[in-house]
Amino acid sequence: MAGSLWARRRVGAVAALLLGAGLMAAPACADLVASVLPNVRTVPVVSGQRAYATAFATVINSGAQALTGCRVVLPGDTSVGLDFQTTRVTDNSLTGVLNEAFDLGPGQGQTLLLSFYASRTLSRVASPVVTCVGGATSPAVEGLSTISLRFVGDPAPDIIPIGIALPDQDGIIKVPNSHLTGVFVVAAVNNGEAADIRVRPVGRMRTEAGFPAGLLICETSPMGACLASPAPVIELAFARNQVRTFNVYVTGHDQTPVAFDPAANRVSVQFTYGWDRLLTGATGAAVTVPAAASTVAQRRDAARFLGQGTFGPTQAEVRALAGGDYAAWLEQQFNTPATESHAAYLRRGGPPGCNPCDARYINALHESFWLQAVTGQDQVRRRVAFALTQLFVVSEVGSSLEGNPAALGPYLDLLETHALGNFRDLLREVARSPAMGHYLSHFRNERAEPTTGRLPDENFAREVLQLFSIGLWELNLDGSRRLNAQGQPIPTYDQTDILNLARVFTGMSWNGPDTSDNRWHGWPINGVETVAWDQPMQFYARFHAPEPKVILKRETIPANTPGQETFDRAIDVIFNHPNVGPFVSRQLIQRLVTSNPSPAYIARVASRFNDNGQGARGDMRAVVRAILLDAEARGPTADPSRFGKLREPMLRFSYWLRANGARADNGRFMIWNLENPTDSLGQNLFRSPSVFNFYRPDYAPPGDIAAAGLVAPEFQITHETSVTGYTNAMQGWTNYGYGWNEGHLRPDYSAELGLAHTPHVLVDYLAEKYGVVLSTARRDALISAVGAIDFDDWWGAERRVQNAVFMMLSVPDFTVQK
Amino acid sequence: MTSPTSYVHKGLSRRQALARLCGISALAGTGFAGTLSNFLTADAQTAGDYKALVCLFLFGGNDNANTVVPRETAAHASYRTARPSIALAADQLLPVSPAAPWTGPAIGLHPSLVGIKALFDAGRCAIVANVGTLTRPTTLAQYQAGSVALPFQLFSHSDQDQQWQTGLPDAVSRTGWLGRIADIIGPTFNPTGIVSPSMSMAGNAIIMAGERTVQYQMSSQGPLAIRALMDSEGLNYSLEAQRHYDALMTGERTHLLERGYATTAARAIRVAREAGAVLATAPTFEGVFPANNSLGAQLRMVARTIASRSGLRQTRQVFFVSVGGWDFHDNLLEDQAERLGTVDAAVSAFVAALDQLNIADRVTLFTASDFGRALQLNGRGSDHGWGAHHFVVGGAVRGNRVFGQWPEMALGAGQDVGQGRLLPTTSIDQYAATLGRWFGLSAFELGTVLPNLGRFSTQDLGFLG
Repeated sequence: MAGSLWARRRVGAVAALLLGAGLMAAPACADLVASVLPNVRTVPVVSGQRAYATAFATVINSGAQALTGCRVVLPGDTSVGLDFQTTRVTDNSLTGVLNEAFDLGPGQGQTLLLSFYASRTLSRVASPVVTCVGGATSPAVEGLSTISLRFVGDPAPDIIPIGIALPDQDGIIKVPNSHLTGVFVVAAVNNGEAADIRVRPVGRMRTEAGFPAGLLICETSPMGACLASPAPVIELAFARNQVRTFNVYVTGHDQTPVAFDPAANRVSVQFTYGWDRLLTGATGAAVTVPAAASTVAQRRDAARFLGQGTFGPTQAEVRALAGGDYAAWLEQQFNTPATESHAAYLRRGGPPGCNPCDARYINALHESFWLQAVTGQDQVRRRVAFALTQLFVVSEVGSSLEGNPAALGPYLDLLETHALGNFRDLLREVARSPAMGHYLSHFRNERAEPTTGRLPDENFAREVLQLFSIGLWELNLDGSRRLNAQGQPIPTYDQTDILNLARVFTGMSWNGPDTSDNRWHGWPINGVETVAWDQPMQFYARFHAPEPKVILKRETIPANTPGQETFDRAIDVIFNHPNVGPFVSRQLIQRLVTSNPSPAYIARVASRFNDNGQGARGDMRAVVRAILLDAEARGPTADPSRFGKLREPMLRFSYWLRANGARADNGRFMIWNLENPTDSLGQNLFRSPSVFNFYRPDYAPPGDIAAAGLVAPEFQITHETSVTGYTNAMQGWTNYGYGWNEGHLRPDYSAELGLAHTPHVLVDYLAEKYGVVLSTARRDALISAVGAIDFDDWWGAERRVQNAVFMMLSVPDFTVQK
Repeated sequence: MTSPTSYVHKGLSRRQALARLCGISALAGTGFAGTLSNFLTADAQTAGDYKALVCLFLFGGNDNANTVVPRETAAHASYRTARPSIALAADQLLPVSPAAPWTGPAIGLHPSLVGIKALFDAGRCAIVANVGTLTRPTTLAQYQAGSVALPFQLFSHSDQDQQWQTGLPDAVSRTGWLGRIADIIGPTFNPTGIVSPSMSMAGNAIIMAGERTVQYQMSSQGPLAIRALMDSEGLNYSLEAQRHYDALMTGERTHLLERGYATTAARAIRVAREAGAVLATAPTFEGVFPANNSLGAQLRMVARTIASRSGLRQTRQVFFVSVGGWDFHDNLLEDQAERLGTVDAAVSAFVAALDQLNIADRVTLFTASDFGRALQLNGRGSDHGWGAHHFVVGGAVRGNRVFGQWPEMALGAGQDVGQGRLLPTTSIDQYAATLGRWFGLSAFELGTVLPNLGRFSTQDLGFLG
């Protein structure tokens, strides 16, 4: 008889030590516990002839008393018979005698081979138990000590999981807190007929209907590499005697930890076949998800902070910062060097390591911008510089900078170089940048010419005051307008000031070792190029206005003062105008935090602009610190119906790219054309329609916003067409990624895919990821919408996830940053 | 959400709206009661006909001096002296001969304005000379003495283009004069209109915003539909998901910015549903409009919307189209020739399209711009100015004429406030009132729309018959 049982033991040919998964490490939950593996067998039977289905069992006496005379029985089941025999734990070889009782000392375990038999077709869940002298009996626990037996008339597949590997070899899937995904490996052999098999990980908990963790599976190569992206369910043709291996990913959601309870909280892998999904194999393990290191509120707050100060948070950044020290994080950011310059990207024609390096034209600058926005470590610098592109506006549109990366690359580098430096340097370098010189036409601007009546061009003189530094009206520290004795606001300058300042910005052209006519005009000298977009403009004395210049009625620069000295003195007068602090502070707050900062908030930031605490004026780090760490930016908002800003379309897009680690095969971010509002963002780098940016800081959309006395700059480009265009564009990108071919930017939704089967978990996960706080009603609506998207067809999980991400990114809860 | 008048601000009843209008009319010294009775009765009698106004805004401040130019020898010489290197030669100009009582010098149009000249000659285009922002009639002496309140922040783009649109150069306004016209005209003439009478093809423009009227922004392809809400394809074909998503996009919000976004989305969805099919069947004017001309594309959509007026249940429409890049500090000769050419081709095509619809005498297009420019040369261009010449085009226009006062174009002469920046002799109010009267507004109503109008004695410049 022993031989016959051995012969039935085909399943053991490749069996590793199949300890009851999670059981050996179990604390005493009962004195006597047992487990059976596999949990499913399917065997052919010819009516009247006995057929066998074998399985392994492990039994443990965790009590203090020795148990004797233990046997395995199948209570109350007459149509299925059971034989058992003890085995050696190290190699599963048979040791005892068939159906002979065994003893279990305190704390001892015993491995066994079980053989179920029947003589006709039947299908049932068998619940073998171990019972010893004195009445000690192991409980029957579904999925742990039970086995689904199917004796079938027709040939059928019989999938036997033959191995389950876990990092700690203790039979427990421990989802780590750090990145929230645990993995285990399953190997299986088909002991039956070839069939198309569907493989699906399934979670089970004692208490919850929905398993609060994401489950994905992929088939792997023998080396353990996924052959295709992990999916909630996979289907494969499984030949007889074939061995296949799988990785199962368990992504926890740490708002809902899963306790260690191996009898109840388990993940199993189920193998089914046929139109009615008959179960033909299963294995499983206990699972734990630890409680989060931070609270939801802390993570929400970290996401809010990072949403204000970066191009959008990643999950890893949120978790690292949650509950932490924002000021320290900011200092770390301030000291993070720029990864590399845009000029370097342009020279190389692509990112480091590119092949081929064929990024060309203005597209190359867009690629470099997005590479840094999405992957750059110096997020705060880049983000502030992006805000500065909207203050110190230059644009390709309708200008000689059209399609000129050589001009715009160094300009963006300049803004990034000084974004966390001093505002005086920013203003000075912007004013003598050849890109700005071309855009606002003070490049090669000439002194007045009495014989022709020509006057210096006023363009830059006017806009540097109105838009880049002091604005039109004298301001108090809190940004409100100063009033004269008659209660009227006071203009900051008049036409005389403009005429004077226009003289300052004369005689400026290409930088170089000489001031020859050729260099002035940008003509080659002895065959050497004189055009120098990456150098500040220099002064050519013969074209510089010699007249005295009165700067804002504050300082007179005497006649015939050299151009560069005149320029520097004029910049200093502007820089030291008391308007600059509140003027610039308010706009930076608007770009980063909220459209309608309180006067007190503006005053606090402007004070830091005026004096960083060590007597220095214009310290941008002090300004950024003051903006992002201010109680108004950090605390609960005084009026939750108006705080925040409409996220700029480009920042909604960058948020999605960063949150999902979107990457392309060629390592590039080929994001070139975003400005069309009908099918894209209606906003693009250096593509605003004029020097007034895409929107003015005081734009108030007609309706309730204006009626409440609020401004909302980004609403200037928000209308029926752009809302529709953004929504449609985002639907396409969230569903299919951005771009195509080797430049196709693909989002990583693996965590979401694992949650697709539980809409409420998926919605909560996405809300946290996108920094969205949903009201109960809207959370319910979104859960209903997500749940209504069919999950059962082949791409159901993908469709559900893609549409859930799309909806999250297009509803006002996200488009408005609070 | 599907009410036919949902383009009006939510929560603002007609009575409240009137009360707000009253606030403006009080500025003009006209009575609320008169306004009310007037627009509920008089104009209703003429409902059933059709009229449209089209504002063509040239953002950046067109250089007026090179748009309409003296040809006569002495006048041209003064003009050329002020801007020697950017002056147009007299023989380059397209000569026009305004009808009596023209007393100015011989003039010509910029050589790019071939189509405009033809329209002018044909009596379908007029020039209004030296129009600009004024708080009240202002003489050069008053300007120099500072004895009259001036528009806020002259020569600033953002302020002047706003004032052109609000018609209130000395006050803060949340509305513009076409929007206020639509406030009055809309309920009377388009009581069941399925889209706002105020339609912009060029983004948000304050000129289109009324107290009640919310502009509808239409793309050059017409209303766009959110694909996720299209029955046949949206959200993986789930109508239930679409229903929830629609509610999330458009539902009531307490956060004001969210509400602003949601109400815009709601309008977008509703108009795409209700007007999309109507506009899809409008004539497409193949071959009429120039290719690669954004303004042409906008005006084509205006023409298609005019053609769809009965399907949209509208008998009055106001439109906004624009083209940017007119800030000619630099490279003026080349850039202005290119841009005026763009405008000329687009406007000519628009008139041709209106002729196809046999409705040209019911549609008036007028130009507007931030400001004119200084006459004096700044090197390769000209700097920000003030008054400027504008064109009015359409079958109802008393064309081949110049209205207003032709300014002397010489430095230090006539209306020059410095460097050849023109002190306007005609105000926006008068320009707008002339258009508004033709559009069907009574004197009372014009007073509510243009609160400062009463300060100017001539309230109809006469360029519309």
